[in-house]
Amino acid sequence: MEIADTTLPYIVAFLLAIVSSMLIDNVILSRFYGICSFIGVGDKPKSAFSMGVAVSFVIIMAALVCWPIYTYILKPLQIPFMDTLTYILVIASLVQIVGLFIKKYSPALYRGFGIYLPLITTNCAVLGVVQGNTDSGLSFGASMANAIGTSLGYLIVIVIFSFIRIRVSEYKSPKAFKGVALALIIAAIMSMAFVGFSGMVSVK
Amino acid sequence: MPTWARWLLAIGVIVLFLIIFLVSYILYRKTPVPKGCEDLEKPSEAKCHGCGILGCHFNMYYNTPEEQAKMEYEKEKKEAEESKKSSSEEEKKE
Repeated sequence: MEIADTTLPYIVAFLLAIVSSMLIDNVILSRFYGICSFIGVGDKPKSAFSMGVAVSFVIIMAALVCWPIYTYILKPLQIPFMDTLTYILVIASLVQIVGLFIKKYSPALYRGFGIYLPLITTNCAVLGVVQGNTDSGLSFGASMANAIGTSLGYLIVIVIFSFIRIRVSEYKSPKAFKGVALALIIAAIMSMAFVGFSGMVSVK
Repeated sequence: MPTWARWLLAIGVIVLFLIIFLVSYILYRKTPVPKGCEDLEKPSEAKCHGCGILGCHFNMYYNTPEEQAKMEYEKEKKEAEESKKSSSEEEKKE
């Protein structure tokens, strides 16, 4: 099914863009971003969910901040080539500021996912989404739809992955495959399964 | 815009964001940990179980459950032997 923005209401196109980023162009299984945190933290459902929520939060905030910086600062000043370095610094600062507010005003949130925030600074999924938004020339709405869809896709996949790993760990496996090796095989099979979504929706 | 001006602007923008990052980092480090969350600052399951550094003795999650159980059993055995030794020494003193 192909969607053209001019024929559909904006909200429907927005929702379809979210679904497209979440399932068809999944950040972990299709674009292969954020694999290190996916393998490292994705073995316990509770920590996987916390990590997923933290990454989602940071991706959405980073997209919200970086798109205006690129559009209203870097492009008018004719220095779009500084985008990557700028995004890295902006994301790192954003994570520190968010962590600061959570530490100060919300101990419950800090206990929930505060310890994962410094790990997300180096997560390539965040930089990949933000860079992809500007490289593709997306509008602000499309960028936010991409960010929301990507973060939801990350959360869903990491939680599903953690449950699969729990089930697999209950059974005996060859010693050479234990740990990361088996995790990568599971991720590969999940990636093949998600290929089934390709071509379902495309947003022009 | 001349090239040298663009490069100067680029460096200026980077320096600005670098300053913002450093200030936010310093403020984050200076903010005290909330009450009840002090244990999160220490090496723990939540922080360490994705880590692959074998040299760190907190990296208990690299071991399989069997190896972990074996390590705990040996630790308990050692503690029991030490407590036996100390109790026998006390008896000798008496």
